[in-house]
Amino acid sequence: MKAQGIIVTTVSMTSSHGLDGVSGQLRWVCDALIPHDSEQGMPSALEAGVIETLLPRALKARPELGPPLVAALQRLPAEPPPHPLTTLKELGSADFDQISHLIAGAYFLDFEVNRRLKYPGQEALDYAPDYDEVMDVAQRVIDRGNIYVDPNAP
Amino acid sequence: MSHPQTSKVYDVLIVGAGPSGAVAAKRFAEEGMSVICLEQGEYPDYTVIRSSEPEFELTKDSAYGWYPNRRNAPSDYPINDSESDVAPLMWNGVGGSSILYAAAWHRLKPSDFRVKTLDGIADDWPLTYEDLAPFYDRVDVDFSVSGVAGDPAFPHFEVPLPPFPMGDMERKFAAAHDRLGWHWWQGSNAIATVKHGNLEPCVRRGSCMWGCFDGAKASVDRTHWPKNIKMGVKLVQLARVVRIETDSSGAATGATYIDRATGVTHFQPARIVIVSANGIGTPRLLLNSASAQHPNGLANSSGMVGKRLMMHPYGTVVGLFDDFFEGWQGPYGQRAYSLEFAETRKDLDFVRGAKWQLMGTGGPLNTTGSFPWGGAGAWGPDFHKEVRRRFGHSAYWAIIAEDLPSDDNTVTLDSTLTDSDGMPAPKLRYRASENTRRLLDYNQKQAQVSMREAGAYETIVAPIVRETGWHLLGTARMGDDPTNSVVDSFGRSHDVPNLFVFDGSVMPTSGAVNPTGTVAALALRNAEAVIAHARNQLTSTSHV
Repeated sequence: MKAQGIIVTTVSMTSSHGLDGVSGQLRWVCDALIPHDSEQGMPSALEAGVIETLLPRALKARPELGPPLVAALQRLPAEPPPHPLTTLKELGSADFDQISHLIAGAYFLDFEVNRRLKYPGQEALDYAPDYDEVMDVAQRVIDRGNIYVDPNAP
Repeated sequence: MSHPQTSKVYDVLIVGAGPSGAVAAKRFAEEGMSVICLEQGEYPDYTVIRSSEPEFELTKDSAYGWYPNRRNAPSDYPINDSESDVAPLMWNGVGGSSILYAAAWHRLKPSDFRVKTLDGIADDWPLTYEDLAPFYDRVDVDFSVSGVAGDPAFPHFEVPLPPFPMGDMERKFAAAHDRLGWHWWQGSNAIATVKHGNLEPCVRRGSCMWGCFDGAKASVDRTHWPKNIKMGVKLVQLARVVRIETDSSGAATGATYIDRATGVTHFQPARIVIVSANGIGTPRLLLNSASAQHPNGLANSSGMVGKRLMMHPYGTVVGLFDDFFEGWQGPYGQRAYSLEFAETRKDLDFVRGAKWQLMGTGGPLNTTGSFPWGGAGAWGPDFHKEVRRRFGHSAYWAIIAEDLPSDDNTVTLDSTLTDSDGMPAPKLRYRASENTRRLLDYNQKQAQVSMREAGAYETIVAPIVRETGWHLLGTARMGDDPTNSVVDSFGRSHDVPNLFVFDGSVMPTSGAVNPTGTVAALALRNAEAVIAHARNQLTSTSHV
């Protein structure tokens, strides 16, 4: 059960992007693209909260992608078709890419998903090169001799 | 002139605030010349880059996307690339495409200047490696280049800043190439590894190609323009130059531009005009500057303006590994490179060669796209398995093919398409040659050998990747013969004595490496020549 405050926020954000009119499509599309995988220990898109929190967050970051997403979803049936992935791919690459990129982009905003993949985000790293190692490696290449063509060579 | 004219006549007017324009402006200003630069865009807004946030992968291709036809920023102009194998990439604003470049920094090899002599095709340059080497040395410092000196693929030169550390990925490939006996070298990048000039030390955030929020990458909005402006250079943003004007004697008088903020058209006079608008923008401007005196476009008596477009066709070979690399961290760009197959080998069925650059494959979202994989990832039941296979467990060789010039690969003016100011859009016609296809095929096969030797259990090959036209070269080629070249060896138009082209348009051949180092070195060399001959420089008498 989610907190009331989150639900209110979600309704507001999805409404602003016009997603409430395609909520049926969104439900089956999410898990058709990113299903649960016990073997890999990964949640489905729905389980990760794509519809409730992550997609609104993604569209807040990329608001210009909202209208084409809705337009693409409107071309799909509201009820799950017998072969969801096939139906999705029949949209053509432009609409398929539009939908899949945003759903996956939203999915990978989730902290827990990234933790399970061992992705810490784009970190600022300190570093201290081992110059002895660098020069040892370089010297081995140097020892193999010059490899450029000298146009002035006789 | 029917348009409002600004009162001041500058010594030098530069069109474009990218690398070549910035380098030239700096040198002229140091010499005390008055300089104005007209730039159609604005400074980059680094606050919209979210490289330290989880939204980075989702937002990186928005404001800082590479492909102007998709990005559609106000400063961009549409490009008809429907007849091009490769889509052109650029950034239109202060800094030019250095805002987006990976900053992989190289100089050409001596043989690149002598392709006709050595291989019997294309052209020799009207200058040699030895002519340009001192200028490479100087721009290497100005662009805070880091790396390791002594690469045996070149005559010796020094590298001003220390290298990045080696990671597990680099170690694997260095060892593999030792076993193969192949060339390998740690990446040379215009990225500061220690505080240098206006740059901060890189923190390896990995957003190099989408604007560097951390201020470590040598984009010229940071390395050059603050100094230029301090020295008195006037940088006019939102100024879309639509024509270079000439007088009755044939000399350039200045440029007509549209103020994109007001829509008002102005004329800016100058004694010397320098075009630095890249390999598409430059021929577009020269062709659009046609007049009764120059019916085929300005500086185009040879008919070579817009011909010989070279774009460095680009393929990838990805390796999948059991090892886990931090492939999303920087430099993103190149960790290392190989020039083992960069020059002609007599036993093969193509001439010239390719540069390989070693890179990580980015974050989780990047595992689902088509680049560098050559096709989209898996969806549905195999989604997680494929993400796991790719994310952190992959590296790729990006293969940059030397592009040979062809008169059939062109930039012309589109007959109907225009930009938001009504200026005709450029139209590309570009097909990769049979030589290029053989070259790429061979190099991709060898790169698979490299991957397997480094421990990859599977390789994925992507042939020519369409949206990889970062390097726009050759469309205003230099040469000694005015009948088949646009400018001389110092960028001066054969037709218009005070008109110069300083960007990559002038390159007669492309080499196989990332060209910004060469573009910058040429701009500096050309600027020195202008300064040296300033007393004898012909200019328009209309300003007197």
